Amino acid sequence: MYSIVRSIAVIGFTGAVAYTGVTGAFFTDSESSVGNVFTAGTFMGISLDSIGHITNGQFVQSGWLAGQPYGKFFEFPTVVPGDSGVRHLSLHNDNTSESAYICFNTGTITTNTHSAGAEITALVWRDNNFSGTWNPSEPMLTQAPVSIENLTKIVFADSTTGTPLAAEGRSDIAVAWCAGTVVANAGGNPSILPGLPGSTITCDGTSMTTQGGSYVADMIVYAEQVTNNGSFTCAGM
Amino acid sequence: MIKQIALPIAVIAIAAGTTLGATGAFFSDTETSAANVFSAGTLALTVNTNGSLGTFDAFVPTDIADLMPGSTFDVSHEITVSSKAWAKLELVLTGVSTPENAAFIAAIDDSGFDLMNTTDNVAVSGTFTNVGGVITFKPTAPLEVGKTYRVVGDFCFGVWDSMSTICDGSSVNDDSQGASVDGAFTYEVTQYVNNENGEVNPL
Repeated sequence: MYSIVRSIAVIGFTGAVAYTGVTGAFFTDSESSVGNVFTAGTFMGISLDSIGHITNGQFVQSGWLAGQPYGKFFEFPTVVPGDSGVRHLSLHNDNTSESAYICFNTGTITTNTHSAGAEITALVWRDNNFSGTWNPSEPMLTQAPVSIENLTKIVFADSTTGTPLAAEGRSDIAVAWCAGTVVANAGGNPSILPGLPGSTITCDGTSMTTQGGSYVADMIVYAEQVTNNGSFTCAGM
Repeated sequence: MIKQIALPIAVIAIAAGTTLGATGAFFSDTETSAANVFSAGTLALTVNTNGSLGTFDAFVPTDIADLMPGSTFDVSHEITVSSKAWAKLELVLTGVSTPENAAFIAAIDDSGFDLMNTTDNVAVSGTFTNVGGVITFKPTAPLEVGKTYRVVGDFCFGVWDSMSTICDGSSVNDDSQGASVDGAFTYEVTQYVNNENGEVNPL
């Protein structure tokens, strides 16, 4: 009986220590990581440069360097059926650690008269070998000729297709246009400049029948982060 | 028991709502090339007809009356183009009144005018003897912008001599009295650029 009473007394004492606060000091330790930083990244490193353009089979050195101001990708005031050209563009994803989805879009169309936007067509491809010509091994980003008024939501890379532009990376695209119907000839010679007979890119001017039309529009290269963005599509823009 | 089931469902609903609504913003960048321009050119052909004072006016029909055997007359046109172009002129006999044995010959040359440069001086001739007869004149070089070309048709009511200087009307007989001929001048041009065609007029 005594043993039982003592045991109850010990339990009662322990309980008092643990739950009634009669002991104010305990050994403790802590480790602190101070100055933790969460800084929003920036995604403004996309820039464009161009080595120039090809017009009617002639190379024209009218480009600009990356980071330099640039003007119009295209400026052709007196186009006639059969005129054609290619604008080369290099995409740079500098000063960011983010890979980027890229879409090629048409912005504001300020002028589109006499069917000019419909009768001038374009093709866009990844100019992997930096040549301004199309090698059939280079992926076409437009599967068929697109009228320039519909040259938008062109996918360089989004969550459904294409390889994103890597951080600190560069990639090249080429945009071919034709006053008429631009034609991709896989059997052509990629060493022949577009617009010349035998090239992989030729222009059939017979479908352009309207004189005096004009098309003026902004053209936009849009980039968006890849990280945490697995559902992004150019079509959904 | 009902309370225990309801709680997990509520938690799942909140989690789902968080997932669907949390990704509204992504960093992006846009590079814009403003106001790209494609403007179609124009190919405009202007034709004027020689007027009574030697000036060239609107392209109007020419009416020559009271021709006698051996009579000659000129019909001249001035043409300009707004873009470099190949050109073709067709004179088509569209109608002949009875009797139908009138013969007209047309010769087209520069006659001292600046139809083309000297190396392109091309003279053509033909005879209007049948309805539907056509005389075609095709300059061998494209027409240049900024130049005025004069096309001169020298017509003879009869037969030109070999130099197209003397009109012999002896072949016209009395059956041709009162006869008239209707013709049409048609000029056609097509662009030269992207249509060089080996420097041969494709029209």
